[in-house]
Amino acid sequence: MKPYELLEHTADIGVRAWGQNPAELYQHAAQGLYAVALTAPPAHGEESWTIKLRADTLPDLLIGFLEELIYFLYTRRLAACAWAFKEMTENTVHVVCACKRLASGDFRTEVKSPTYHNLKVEEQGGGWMAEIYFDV
Amino acid sequence: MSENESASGWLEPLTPYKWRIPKEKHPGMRVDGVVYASAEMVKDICRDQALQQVVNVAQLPGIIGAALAMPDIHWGYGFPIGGVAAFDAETGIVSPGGVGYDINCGVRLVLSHLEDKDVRPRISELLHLLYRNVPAGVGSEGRIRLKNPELKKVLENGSAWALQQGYGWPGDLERTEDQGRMRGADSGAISSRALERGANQLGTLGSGNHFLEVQVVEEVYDAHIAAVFGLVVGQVAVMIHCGSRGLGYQVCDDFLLILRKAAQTYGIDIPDRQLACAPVQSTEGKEYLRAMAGAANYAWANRQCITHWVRESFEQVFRQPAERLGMHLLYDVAHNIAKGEHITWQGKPKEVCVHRKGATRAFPAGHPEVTAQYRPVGQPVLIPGSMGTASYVCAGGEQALTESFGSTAHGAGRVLSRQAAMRQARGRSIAEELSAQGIQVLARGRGTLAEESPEAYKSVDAVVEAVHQTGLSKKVARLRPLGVIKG
Repeated sequence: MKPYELLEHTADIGVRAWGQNPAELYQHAAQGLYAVALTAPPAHGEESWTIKLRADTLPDLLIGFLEELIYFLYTRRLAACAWAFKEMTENTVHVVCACKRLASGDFRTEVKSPTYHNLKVEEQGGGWMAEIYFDV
Repeated sequence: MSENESASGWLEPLTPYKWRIPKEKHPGMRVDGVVYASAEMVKDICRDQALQQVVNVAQLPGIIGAALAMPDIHWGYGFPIGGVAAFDAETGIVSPGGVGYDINCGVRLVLSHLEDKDVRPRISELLHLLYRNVPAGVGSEGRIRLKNPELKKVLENGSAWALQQGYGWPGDLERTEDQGRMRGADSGAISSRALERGANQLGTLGSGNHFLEVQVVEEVYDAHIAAVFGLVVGQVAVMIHCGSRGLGYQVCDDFLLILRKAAQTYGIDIPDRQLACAPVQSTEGKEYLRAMAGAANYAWANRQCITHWVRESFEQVFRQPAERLGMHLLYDVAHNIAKGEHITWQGKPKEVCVHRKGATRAFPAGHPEVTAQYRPVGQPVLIPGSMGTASYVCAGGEQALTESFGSTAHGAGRVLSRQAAMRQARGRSIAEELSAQGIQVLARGRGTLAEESPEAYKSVDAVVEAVHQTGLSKKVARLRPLGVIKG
């Protein structure tokens, strides 16, 4: 199973991600985001940060998770390359990320935000699939 | 039948440039949809989900008249890009999905007395200086670093803050929509995250479709209005297109969450989660409008600071004060915004909340909101084309007030996805192709030129012809680029 693919949109760009479980799905969605935003995936991490979020549903949680990654990308210039999930439920994500600090040349596209447009998070054939469109 | 063929079947022609989506055809529509476009443009419009988004907007509470789409309509989030809707200020809603992430993304045009023959020989020098003086690119950080107390003054005062710091001329304010300061802004409604995202980005272009162009007036269509605007053939001007940067994106994010919950609280059934909304008169709706106004003011201050560095750059290259170079602002328009406006509706005065998402205010001659200098001919409207193609200066048209809540198009509008544009550009040098046309380009980001290549967009000529023919605005002048800076 490939981790993600990019989806076409007239104005913007989408990511379809797969995972054997929600935690893997979230990681692959993050890789899709970085594929859009960065010139190369972050290879190794020197710093760590913790994401701890609650939301009403798994799709809402995914949006919150991606918003968190975007916030760190453009304010702290940090991108996650390794993930240690402490908790992952339909309403909660708690993950410690190893992060690379980025240089100006590492950025490719400015991603404004993940959107709720045609947002999907589904259990599929024993695994999970998500589709997210980003405003860029 | 494909989805696209199905969408084209939704449209009934009203005139050669006006189409109706009857409310009877789609359950839940409170009003018709109306699309302004030629038959040729409709083919492109039906290729994606933009018309479904017009149908969705028509379902929102308190909408009056029709859900409108300008000729540059394309698939957006919530509202289509090019979408306009007015909601009753007492019974209607406000939605961040009708404004967009880049709050008060907009355009301004700075004039000069210089001519093509003065600038063309020095365009490379000028462009490189502008490139150095105006920060651009992904996540670009500016020359201005603000602590929160000062940033809050920006949010509440907009362009006036910039002038107080020396970034501009007094005449700039009267030539900016809302004088560059939207009333009702409250920095207290803006999250600490949004403040953090905005702290180092004031005075930056950003990336994507944002740009700074040195242009020359190529053709004048209406000599009288052009004279009032100060436009003559051969004259050089500078167009600046950018918005509220990360601060605006974060405000939109924050309030989509708040207003989605509010929609549940107020029992509003929304057809698309990106259309999260709240009644205009609700606590949540008012809070969003206060925060949005703050982000709009940030965007106006942003374009004002950039204007200052553009003037400085011209002074350095041409060794004359910017005043002597005639570098007055023609006008600054917002094209992603929601505003309270007074209209005459069915013969009576009415307060509405007009959403313009990828649409430009276009008040006609005589409108009291048009600055005195331009009131005899109508508000200047700036419609940029894609990179390397023409841009237009128009004037607000009479029909805009009676048909489109004082609105018109905002640009060319995309027709190709970024990936499709990259595929078409493979093996080509877009910079060299533009250079062969006499247009120099400097771009910060990798892939930006391919993604933003001219064929990724509709013909701006066709968009402007459509708004001209429908009377939403009048064609005044056409400008072509000499030099382009992209983020």
